[in-house]
Amino acid sequence: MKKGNVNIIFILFLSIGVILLFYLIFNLLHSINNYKELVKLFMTLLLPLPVSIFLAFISSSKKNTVKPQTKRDSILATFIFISTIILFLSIIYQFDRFGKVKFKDLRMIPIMLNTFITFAYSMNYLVVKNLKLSAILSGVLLGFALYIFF
Amino acid sequence: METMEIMETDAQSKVQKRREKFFWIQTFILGFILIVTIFTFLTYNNMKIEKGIKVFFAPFLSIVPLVFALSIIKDWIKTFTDGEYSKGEKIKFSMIALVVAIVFTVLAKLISMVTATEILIAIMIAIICLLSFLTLKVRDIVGMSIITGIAEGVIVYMVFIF
Repeated sequence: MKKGNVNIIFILFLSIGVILLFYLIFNLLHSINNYKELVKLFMTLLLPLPVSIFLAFISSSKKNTVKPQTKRDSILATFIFISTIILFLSIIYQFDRFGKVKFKDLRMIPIMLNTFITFAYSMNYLVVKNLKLSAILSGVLLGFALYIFF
Repeated sequence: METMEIMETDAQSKVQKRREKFFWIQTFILGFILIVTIFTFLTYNNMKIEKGIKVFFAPFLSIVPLVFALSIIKDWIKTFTDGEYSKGEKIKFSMIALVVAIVFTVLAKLISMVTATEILIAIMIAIICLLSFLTLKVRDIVGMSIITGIAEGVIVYMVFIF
């Protein structure tokens, strides 16, 4: 991830998160038939927002700027990214094999996870600017997208 | 030397402005959540209005003390520090937010059992008055953690228990 490329990568990951969100919501829409369910869905969307804003508030400081990156940094970040995808996918498949219900069929938790990752990723990009955290979050997001669509 | 100082103060004020922005966003989110919660509770329990005058007077129960407090306390905490928080402070304020969240989950459970319209309106307006007091007078990390706790508690009740 070079300094010029980060902007494009950020927009790309954000759009992946938004597309996933719309997909999950349209999957749920046929089961909503009263006001209570609608409020529950809406509150589920809002659940991770205050936490991520609070974390961004508490961890913002003047030291958080984009540092010049060496080759070792970017290799480490790529390694973390790929290993996070593999770890996340293996955990979810283990859950599906041994758990009673599949992860896809839990109604609210996938939406919550998706919004939390998307908000945390954008907060990290805007405020904290930590390369390792960004690698972990994008790995989880991409693994989640791979699991949902395939 | 002077340029260095100017650059440093510039960075500091940038962090301060950013924190103030986050504080306002959090406040608006919490106000929005509370309004949605009021309408949900009002439509859910089949409320009945027995005496209309009681509903009219219910909000003033908490608005009058709020105005009194605002007029007495001139300027309280109004600083967003630009320094970095230490690890102990971070853990402390996160614990405050967690405790407030648990308290408000229980409180929302109690509020949802109320069937009289005037009591429900009085309680919700009291919470909104508390929020506006925090927003106007306690503009600090303490206020921020309390606001986060209230928002999380109400949302957790609405998602998992309601």
